[in-house]
Amino acid sequence: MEFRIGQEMPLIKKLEILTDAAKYDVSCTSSGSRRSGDGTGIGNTVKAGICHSFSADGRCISLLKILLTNECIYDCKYCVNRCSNDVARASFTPEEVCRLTIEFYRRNYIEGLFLSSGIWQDPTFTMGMIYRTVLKLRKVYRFRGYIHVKAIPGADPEVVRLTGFLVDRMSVNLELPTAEGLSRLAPNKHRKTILTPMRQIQNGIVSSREEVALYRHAPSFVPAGQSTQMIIGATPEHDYQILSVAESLYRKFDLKRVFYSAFVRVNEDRELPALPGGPPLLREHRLYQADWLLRFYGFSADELLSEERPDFNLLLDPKADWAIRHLEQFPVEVNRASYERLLRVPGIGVKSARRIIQSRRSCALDFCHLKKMGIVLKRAQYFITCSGKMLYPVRMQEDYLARQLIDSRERLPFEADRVTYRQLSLFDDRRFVMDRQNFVRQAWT
Amino acid sequence: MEETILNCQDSAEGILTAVYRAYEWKLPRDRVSIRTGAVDLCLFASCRDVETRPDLAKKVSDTIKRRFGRQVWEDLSFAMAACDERKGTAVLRTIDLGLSGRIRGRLTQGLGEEWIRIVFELGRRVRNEYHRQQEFLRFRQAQEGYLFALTEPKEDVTAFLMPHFSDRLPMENFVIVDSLRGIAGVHPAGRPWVLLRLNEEEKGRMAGAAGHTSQEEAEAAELFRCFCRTVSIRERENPGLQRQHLPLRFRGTMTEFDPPG
Ligand code: SF4
Repeated sequence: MEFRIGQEMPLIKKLEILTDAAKYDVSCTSSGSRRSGDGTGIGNTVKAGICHSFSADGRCISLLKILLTNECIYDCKYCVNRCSNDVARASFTPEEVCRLTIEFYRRNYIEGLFLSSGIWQDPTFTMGMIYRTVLKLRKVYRFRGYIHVKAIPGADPEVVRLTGFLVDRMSVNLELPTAEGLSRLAPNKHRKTILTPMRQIQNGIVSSREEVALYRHAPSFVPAGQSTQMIIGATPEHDYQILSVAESLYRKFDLKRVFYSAFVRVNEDRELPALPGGPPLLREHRLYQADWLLRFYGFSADELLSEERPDFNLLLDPKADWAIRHLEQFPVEVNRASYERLLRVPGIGVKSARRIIQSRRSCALDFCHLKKMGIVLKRAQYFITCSGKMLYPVRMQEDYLARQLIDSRERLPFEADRVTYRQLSLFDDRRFVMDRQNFVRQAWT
Repeated sequence: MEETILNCQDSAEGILTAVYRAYEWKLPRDRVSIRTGAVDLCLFASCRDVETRPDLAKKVSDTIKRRFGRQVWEDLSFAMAACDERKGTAVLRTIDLGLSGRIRGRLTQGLGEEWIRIVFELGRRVRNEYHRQQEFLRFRQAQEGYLFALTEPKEDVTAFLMPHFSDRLPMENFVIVDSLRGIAGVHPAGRPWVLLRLNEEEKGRMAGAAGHTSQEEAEAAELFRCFCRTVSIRERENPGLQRQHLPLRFRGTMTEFDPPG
């Protein structure tokens, strides 16, 4: 294999520049598509997706996540690639992207390609280059693995449509939760130009599903669905606003995933908040947990937050937080409760709820059974009974339970905040939460 | 009555043959154990060696599929690949419970029963290891052009990995070597895969293959290392989290963790 294709810049240098420029996009999943190999090409996809490595920041590496170019005519304030920045620029040829993808794939480094791009000349030209690249990868290299591309807002819908038939997932980044935030930090972008391709992709997916149902061999359009990303903490929105936006994206645009990206300050700009404590990782983590509750646990944004209580308690996961504020709904009898009610118990997840329903058909379950099934009794014990009995007699009282559930060993996706966890008593906690949120907001104003 | 120990080969076929014999010989199932490892002196039990018979094993697997469905067959297959002394006995008792008709719903989810719970737990362990290997296994390209992967899986998962990789890489010649068990899955381009038990000489040859990679291999590896290094966000760095997802035991065979140079 020839890696250098008569270029001025060595491929490895390009790869470095264009990986560095792509890394702030958080999505890297390869899930949602099931396609088996065809016996002669290369690649397949599995429904749940596969992670292949984890980088030093603990994030999963599943796809070759690169930009086609980091040239950009726009000037989004939060982005390293903005045209007013003086950074090294590079562009891949479609051929180079294909070779990298194939050579990485056959060694089992990756599940496929995640291709995004700065705005090169204009949106339609950029989308056209993305299209040419994935067309080559699918048709010339016969690649059947996972492909995720960005749909470029403002590009000719026809190019977006053609690309949609070649890829598994498409995403258009919402970037910021509100239109005001967008106009402040991304002056070249507009809510409308972002939502237009999102709607187009949604409609494309629906009609393609109908066609596939009719004609089995009709080409499928974006089979793994579309996703989007919001930057958290660059603008002053509350969690409640963010989660409500996510909820309506799921409901109205039928999105597969909404990703939250804790703001990392890469540019000096007075429009950007200072965030001396680093990116708001704990907040991002709580949003992901809440997002999970929306998608799989039947919760709505209004149940979790409100105008009066617009931000998550940073010390408790959103489900435990909800449970201790709704003690009237507990305890739940494990041997009788419906699946939906079991799901609302802290410490019981989707899998364990299903297992409970299955197993209790053949015998009455006790705590010992539950433990062996993988239910986290440390959390669940306060909220359940087995044949009418609790594990230990407990006080069903909000403050007491909150103290039990604040978990100093909670596995957070980062370490910095853990010390604070252990040091705080519950009463300080509330203040801490307030402080922290105010702090974020002050930093911004 | 006395305990009986059926001593069989450590493979799905071996275990299923023993299950067949337990019924054929009309041994009371609650007093039979199936052992796949070396058996120590049986003082208080009678020991019988069971020779593997693929045809009998197939009869049992057909019965399992017919009576309990494909899902249960899959669960039992995973359990039989576990590195655990209890697996043979657990599979036998689970089948016996299934035939008794006492378990409603999917047999392998009747977790109220101790032996079914063991099957479940073993199956989960093997599935985890299988997923981990799907993630972290790395192929390298030998000078001759074929791809090889050296693995050290906790459970015996090569037979599960082969269909997965054959489907993705149908036109590649590749080998997956389980260095701990001396087993290799071999896939010739465009043809069905086979599983081999390696003899000493072959084991040595496969272990040495790591030293004979191509120039292209070095370049691809360097590119991937560059990618992994660069994609990490400095402000979020967190080696603890990285280790939680990607335990150190896998890193020895992973290209991106090769020592530099
Ligand atoms: S459009 Fe904005 S976010 Fe995208 S690369 Fe250009 S400057 Fe960055």
